[in-house]
Amino acid sequence: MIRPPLRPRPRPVTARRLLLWPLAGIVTLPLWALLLHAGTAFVRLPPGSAAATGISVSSSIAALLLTFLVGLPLAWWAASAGQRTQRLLELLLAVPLLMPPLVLGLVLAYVFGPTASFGQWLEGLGIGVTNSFLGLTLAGFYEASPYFVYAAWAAFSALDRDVLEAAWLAGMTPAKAFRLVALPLAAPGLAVASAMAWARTIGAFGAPIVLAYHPTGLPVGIWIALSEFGLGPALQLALVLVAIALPLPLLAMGVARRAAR
Amino acid sequence: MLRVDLAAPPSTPWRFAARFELEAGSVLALHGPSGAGKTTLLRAVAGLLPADGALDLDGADYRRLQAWQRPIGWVPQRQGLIPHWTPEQHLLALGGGLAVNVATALERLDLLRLRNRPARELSFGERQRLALGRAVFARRPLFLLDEPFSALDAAARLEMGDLLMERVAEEKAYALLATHDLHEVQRLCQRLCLIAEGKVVAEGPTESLLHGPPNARAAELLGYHLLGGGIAVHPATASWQGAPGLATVDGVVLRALPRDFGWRVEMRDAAGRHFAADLGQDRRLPAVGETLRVYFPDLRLSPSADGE
Repeated sequence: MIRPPLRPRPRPVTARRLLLWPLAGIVTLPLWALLLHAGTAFVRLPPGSAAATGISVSSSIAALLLTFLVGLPLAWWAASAGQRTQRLLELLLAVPLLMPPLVLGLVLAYVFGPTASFGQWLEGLGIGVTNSFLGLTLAGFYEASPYFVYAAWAAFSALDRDVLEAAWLAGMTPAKAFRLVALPLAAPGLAVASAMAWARTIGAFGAPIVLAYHPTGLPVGIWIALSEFGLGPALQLALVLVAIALPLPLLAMGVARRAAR
Repeated sequence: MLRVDLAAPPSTPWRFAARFELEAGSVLALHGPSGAGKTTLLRAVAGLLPADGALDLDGADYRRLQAWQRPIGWVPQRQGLIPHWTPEQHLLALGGGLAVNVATALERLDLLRLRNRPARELSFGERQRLALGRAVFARRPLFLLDEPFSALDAAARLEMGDLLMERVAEEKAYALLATHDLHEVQRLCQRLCLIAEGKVVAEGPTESLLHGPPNARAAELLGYHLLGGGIAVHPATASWQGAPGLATVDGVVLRALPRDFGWRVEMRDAAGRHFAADLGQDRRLPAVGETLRVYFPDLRLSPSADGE
């Protein structure tokens, strides 16, 4: 008997297939709106955009480096601490994490501002924090670091303890084992932590608007553009922010995907 | 001489207490059921857990050293290999250097053709051979091995067991081997330490402990069944045939399972105690419910020596 040639069976239309892209479209609405705007509007950036971009990028890089410097050892030690210490740390870190950025800015102004004794002492040393590059960096650091520490802590906690212990007993010092074993193994998680920190610091608005309105970075620049020139120029600047913020998270996703293979 | 006299500090969640000595160039087996504390004791000796007491190797006080300062060849149960490192990298990174050149070591481990493959791409057995090689090819006076042969086939077990014995003899080293396998204990270990609930139940030369456990708990851990009158019977020593010096035991057959070209016959004696006998196929196997007479070496445990 001759059988008719096999044809691929049509895939059934399921709710999942029907709803996947509309649901994704709802969540990614800001992206489509920005792209739509870029496609229809005449791209002319408001004055001072280049300077704001430079300030945002440099202060975010500084804030990220500060986050690594403080957050990496903190996350590493937290991952190997006792349960009681871990519970306490979780609780302490949750406060800045949950604090609205504007409130964080008020708190930072209370500590580093010209009316605070610590702020006055720093000013006496010639280190002015408010309305300075340092203030902008600190605001970015405080907005980003709890996210980084939580994610890096999770990455270090997921490491196989046996591997580290075997590295020590093969003659590696803890510092060498951290560098050669722990860091590469935790790299995917650390990449995600860095991407989160970067996204938080480059988009930081609430804390900088209180602590360091000047020098003006992109988020505050967008706010000024909105109030002075309207929605169009503000959205142009927002596109710039997205364009410079995106590469690092994309790179982190790539690192994590490569490590998972 | 290796002197171990360690106990868990009272404030910690771990429970272990062990005291034994070992001559240079010999292997001591830590044998006991799962959860008995074999791994915990090895980790305490390695310096990975806090421990009170003394740990002395050829006069050197190991308790003063941190884990990474202790010259130990270490095989954890889950191997502890660095996933992105190759076998060659694992061996070359050993502190204190290798006892042989890397190619010789890899060839001995049957990993030469895989020398540049990351550990995560090796099979479980290959990883276990690499973990053993990393421990025993190091120039270390003490090897701590936690079930190092569990994933190996019979031939590889023999081969890697030989390697361990060779390296212990060459380095005049001390080795502590945690294992469930009494065949391995008999072949590789001069001394045996039986552990249960974190404590040493009995410790001594392997052969004398295997054939004459000093107390009921030790006998149980070695697979003996305890019958009335303090008689301990081991299935492997059962015989169809009576002879002088053998105890006669009658039992009702409960079931028979094929085993090593013979049978393991599970039985119940008149007092309702269960025991088993490994018997050859040279006689007709009795049916379930029939009474069977078997003979065992007459091993009587003193009721006072209970190991507690």
